[in-house]
Amino acid sequence: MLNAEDIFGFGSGRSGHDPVTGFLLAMRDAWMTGTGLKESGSGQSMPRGNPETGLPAATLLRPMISALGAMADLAAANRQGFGQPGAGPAAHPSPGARHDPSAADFLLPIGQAMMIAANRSVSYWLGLAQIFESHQATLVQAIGVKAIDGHMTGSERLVTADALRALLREVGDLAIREALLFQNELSALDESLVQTFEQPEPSGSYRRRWRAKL
Amino acid sequence: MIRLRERIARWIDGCSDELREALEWQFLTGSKYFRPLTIFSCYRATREGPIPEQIMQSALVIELFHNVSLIIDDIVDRSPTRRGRATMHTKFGELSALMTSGYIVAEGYLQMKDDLAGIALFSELMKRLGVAECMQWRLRRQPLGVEDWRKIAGEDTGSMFEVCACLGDRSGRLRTFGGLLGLLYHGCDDVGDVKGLAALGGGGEEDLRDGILTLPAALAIRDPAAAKIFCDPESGNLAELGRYFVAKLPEAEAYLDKIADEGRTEARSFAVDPAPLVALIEQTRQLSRY
Repeated sequence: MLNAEDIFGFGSGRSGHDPVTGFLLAMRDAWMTGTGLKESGSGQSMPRGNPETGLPAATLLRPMISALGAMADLAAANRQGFGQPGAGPAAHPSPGARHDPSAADFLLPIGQAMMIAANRSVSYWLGLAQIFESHQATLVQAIGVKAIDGHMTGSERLVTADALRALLREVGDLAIREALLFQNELSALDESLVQTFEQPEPSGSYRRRWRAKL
Repeated sequence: MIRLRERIARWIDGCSDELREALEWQFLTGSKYFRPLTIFSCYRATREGPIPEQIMQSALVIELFHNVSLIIDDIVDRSPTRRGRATMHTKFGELSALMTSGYIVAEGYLQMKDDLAGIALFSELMKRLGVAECMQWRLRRQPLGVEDWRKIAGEDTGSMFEVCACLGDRSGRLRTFGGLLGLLYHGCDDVGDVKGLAALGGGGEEDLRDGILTLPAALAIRDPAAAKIFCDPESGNLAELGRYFVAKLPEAEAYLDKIADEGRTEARSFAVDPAPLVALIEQTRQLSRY
């Protein structure tokens, strides 16, 4: 089994993290575990990355995992900056970050969005595996000896074509459903962000500060 | 549903004296109101509280448009009866039936005058229904498959229920659910017709005669012998073709179970409260099990 820890060189000995850092690290670990599972558990039926380049899935997911690690480091640095001013590199964050305790408020939603993306990816791949499993017999028939030799009867060809069309439709339907679910989940996150960062109503009645063009 | 029935009665009261009798004949008897029920259920699946005026109005108009499709279908199929009584064209003549259909469509759009999004959905429905009927007729007596049936049924009954779902939830999230519900309804109707053919000696003869691609037909004509009769009715008798259809009923029922499963998955994925939608699926699934 592919060990993502070895590949990406992240240590796992961090402990006592603040919630934000812990969350991001957990997400990074979840991604790495998922990558490893995909590499080892899916066998030959699942695509292992880009078929043209032959890159393993782990390599393709490297940017996502690196980003999570970087965000975790940033979250940890921010916490250190607040706790121990003047100590170490994290003691010199940008002025905005130093005095803005809501940095974590931004990091968490980004992390949540990435978690949502990861879940949807896994869900899509699982769905795809189920579809291919349920159509295995058809696929075998479609690429079987009779088909290659051209010995299929007219009705056999129609039945096989019908089954292959069903497979294509199901794959398309799955992609649309997962994309819509992804969109819905991101919309819910967007809504919660709006509520979190909503500015208090300015006192007094609302006044327009511009003129409508006539 | 009581509110809807009263609303339809009030609407007929306000219509032209010339057409009132025909409208009462068409609307005030025997409707299952399944399409309005779909609109209400999709509303309930996404929001709480009483049914608002806009949704009630949509339910009225979907019932109007659905009846237009029934009147036209009956004329095209030359059906003498529907729901156990004379069809509108049989009772009042073809001219009256056609003119009443036009009157109902115009009234439907007038009823929706304050709901632009609703008008767009009803326009989509009328266009798709027209295209589906033409496609179904063009593709008759051809050796097609289940995927082709799915495409035709999806545009015919599927589009009706897709629009119902969109009218109910107004976000588009339940559109696919509506399409699957319509597909299920269409398939159950197909299977029910063949069962009626087998048990009661009635129902579904028009489809059989015209070589319309129903779900049992799509499964049966995988057999070259059945396909030969289906594509060329002169080459064998229709009773024999009917027997091929009956033999495929278990497979058709299994396929309908699969569509029902797809519908439940869709409901659970996109509804806040999937219970009313799952209930719709169960109710529809029963249509072929009498």
